[in-house]
Amino acid sequence: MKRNFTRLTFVFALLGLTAAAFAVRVGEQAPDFKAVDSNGQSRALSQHKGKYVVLEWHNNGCPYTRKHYESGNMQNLQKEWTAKGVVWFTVISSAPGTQGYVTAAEENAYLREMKASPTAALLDPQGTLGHLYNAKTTPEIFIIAPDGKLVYQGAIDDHPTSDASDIPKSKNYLSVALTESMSGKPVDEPSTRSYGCSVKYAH
Amino acid sequence: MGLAPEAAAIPKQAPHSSVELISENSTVAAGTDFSLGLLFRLDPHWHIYWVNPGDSGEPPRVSWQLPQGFTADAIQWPTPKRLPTGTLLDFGYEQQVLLPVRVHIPAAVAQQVPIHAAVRWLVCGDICIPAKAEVDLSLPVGARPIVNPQAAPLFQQARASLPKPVPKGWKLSFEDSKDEIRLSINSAGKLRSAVFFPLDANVIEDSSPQRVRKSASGFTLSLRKSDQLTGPLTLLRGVLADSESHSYEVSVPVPASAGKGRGSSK
Repeated sequence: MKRNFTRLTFVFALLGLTAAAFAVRVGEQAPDFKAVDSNGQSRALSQHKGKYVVLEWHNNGCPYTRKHYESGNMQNLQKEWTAKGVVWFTVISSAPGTQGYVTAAEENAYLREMKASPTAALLDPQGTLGHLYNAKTTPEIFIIAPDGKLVYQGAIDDHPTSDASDIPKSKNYLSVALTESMSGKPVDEPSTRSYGCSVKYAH
Repeated sequence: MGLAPEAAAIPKQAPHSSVELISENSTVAAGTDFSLGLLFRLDPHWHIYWVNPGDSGEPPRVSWQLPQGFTADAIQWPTPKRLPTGTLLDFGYEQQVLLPVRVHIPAAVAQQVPIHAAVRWLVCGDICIPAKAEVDLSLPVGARPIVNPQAAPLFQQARASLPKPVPKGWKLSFEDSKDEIRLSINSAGKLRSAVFFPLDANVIEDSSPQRVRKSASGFTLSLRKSDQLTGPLTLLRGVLADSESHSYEVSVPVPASAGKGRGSSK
């Protein structure tokens, strides 16, 4: 009896450590996830094997997110890359009552108003997907290659400001990484420091 | 009760914060150095950021308009505070902070020195707001520099909080293992415990607790590596703080011969 309890305790302890022990690292397999989108549809990474997948962490009130949306920059990137077969998930991990939290209806209204065209907007108010990927800022970008490996993690571009006038002179890490990877080259800068507001996790 | 008009501008108000350009000197002299400072005042529960903001945020930036021949050094950063938000951790300042800036005056100067600065910063509470202000100051030039006695205590306090070089005789070394970095500090008993603030992003996991293990000669800090640290670490840079005000500059290289091994500096 005592031995079973000890074994069970060990298993629970191991499960508790899993989130910290499973690291998301460039060059390694990106963890699978399941999340519901703003149309009530269940989405999983494993549904898109063989495709590039972009995860874009989002908070519609954060000045750094607004920099890329009010300028139309993010929408242009979504159009450009989904047209090339990339699956683009906008992810909202803001907890209820925090900045960026949206209901499904609110998110769909925002997407229409902003003329944004991700493949889907994933609603993650409990922060499960955010914590799985250790997303820290909005925006933050993860790019998963067709073989399931994480090939990019970090900032959207190289000007860590909230000023939209910096966009034309910025190197867009997302576009550079996708272009390099799609042409069979290794991504030159696979890991950069993301910039933005902190993700508003539940706690 | 403010500073004399020659030495202070009016605080510029911004959301939940204000910034004031102050001078340590009420009179400056040709061919000398002196300090300006950006004095930030923040509403309770709001903060601005250190040079490395941590998991999120953006440090204040300043761009100067100075007379011909003047140069301003980079902002000097007092010891930051750890600012947790849930599972994330930022580095910065609350309530009030003076960020000093050293200025070098050329030999040839006019009788009055006009100084202008454009300051941008991010102030955050539960949400973040970008802020900016233009600040101005005009200082008279005299034969000898005169310190402003009202500004001096603020500068002294800020300087006491700037990270100092590690004292001679202290030994710092680090061990780089798969998941963590162990920074050992031998301070001949002077430093009992400390918190490490990294200067570089994506080296350590900012929000991970820093385990302290005491030894006879000092202590070792275990710092969990960032998942975004790609490749071996060649230099560990940061600030070691023993209290909110006192800290030391850390710059510990890994010897070229070592792969995943030890680095040390005396």
